[in-house]
Amino acid sequence: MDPDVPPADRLQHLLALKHHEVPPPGFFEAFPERVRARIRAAGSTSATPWWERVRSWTGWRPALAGACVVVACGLWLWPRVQGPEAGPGRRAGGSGVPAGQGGLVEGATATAPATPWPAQAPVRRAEAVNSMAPQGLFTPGLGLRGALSPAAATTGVQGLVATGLPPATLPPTR
Amino acid sequence: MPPTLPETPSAPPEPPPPQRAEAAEDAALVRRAQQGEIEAFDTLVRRYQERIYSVVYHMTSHHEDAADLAQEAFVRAWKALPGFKGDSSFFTWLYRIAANLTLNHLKQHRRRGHFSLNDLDLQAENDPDLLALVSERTPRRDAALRELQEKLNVALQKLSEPHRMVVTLHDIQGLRHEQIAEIMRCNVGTVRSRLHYARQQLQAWLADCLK
Repeated sequence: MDPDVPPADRLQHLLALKHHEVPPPGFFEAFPERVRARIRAAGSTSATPWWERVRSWTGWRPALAGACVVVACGLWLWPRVQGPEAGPGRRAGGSGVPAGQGGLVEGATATAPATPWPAQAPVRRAEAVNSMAPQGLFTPGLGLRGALSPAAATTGVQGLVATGLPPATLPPTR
Repeated sequence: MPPTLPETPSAPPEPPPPQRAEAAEDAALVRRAQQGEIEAFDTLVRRYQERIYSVVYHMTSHHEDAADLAQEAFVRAWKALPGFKGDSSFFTWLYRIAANLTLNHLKQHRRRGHFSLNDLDLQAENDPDLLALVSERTPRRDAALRELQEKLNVALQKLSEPHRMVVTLHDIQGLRHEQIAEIMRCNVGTVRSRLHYARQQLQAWLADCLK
């Protein structure tokens, strides 16, 4: 090779060899039909799963994919982080009261509840249960006076057979 | 002894970038394709298939990957066609899709690091450059050509993807700096500096072949 030819031009000569790298014969004749087939296939499988669509959509945008993951994790963690302090009836802090000992419902007084419900005076658990039971059916410490009939499993309160009480004391059902 | 290169390149040039009349035709075809006329899109495919395949192939040096990615580029172009407003030419827009697809593919398969070389086409045998490369057609000449081609591809694969893309688009495909800047969404200065750096690297790696 002529030594006067600058290396840059020699490189151009060398890169010109790349023009000779061609696909197999007939490749370009079949190419448009292959594209058409893929377009048809893509159209017929438009009902791809949502995760596939998300993946293909975010495949071009790594930052967007990362942001989606952060938002999803945040939504998943939010109730777990906020739950113990804000929810009514949940215990605040780490003061443990053994279950079944009738402790105070502390959420009502220890922290202001993050709910629209008005704050109430602390209520003992047993009293709270009593106030929920129909009058005359429940004796504190003894439980229900009546026994559940076999039909109770299917009919609920209406299946109660009150012993020694008139049926009129049953709460109206809705 | 390493093969020497001929004085003047006369290899068949890549199809030139589209001229103004061709761009106007493209715009008309795009409008028809946007209305759902697949035949119009077919014409665009035929018009650009070689250029798109070529850029993907020179980036990947792998025929199967290039075929797959080139087809996928057209499929994505068809899907995105309703949103194409004509801010740039169809040619630039299509190239950008193919370039992004290829760069994305290369990032995902960076570790694979293999490539297959296609046989030289029949025209290459009549190319005066190649005939001058080795005087007679002998197994030794074929081997020399293959070796040269392999060295060139190895050197190209050593370049980073953006640098290889610039070399492919400019030195192999003949695009202008401005067109490359538009395709790669960077400024012209960046294209020039990448091209300069890439050529320096190639010259260093191919020093034996360039003597």
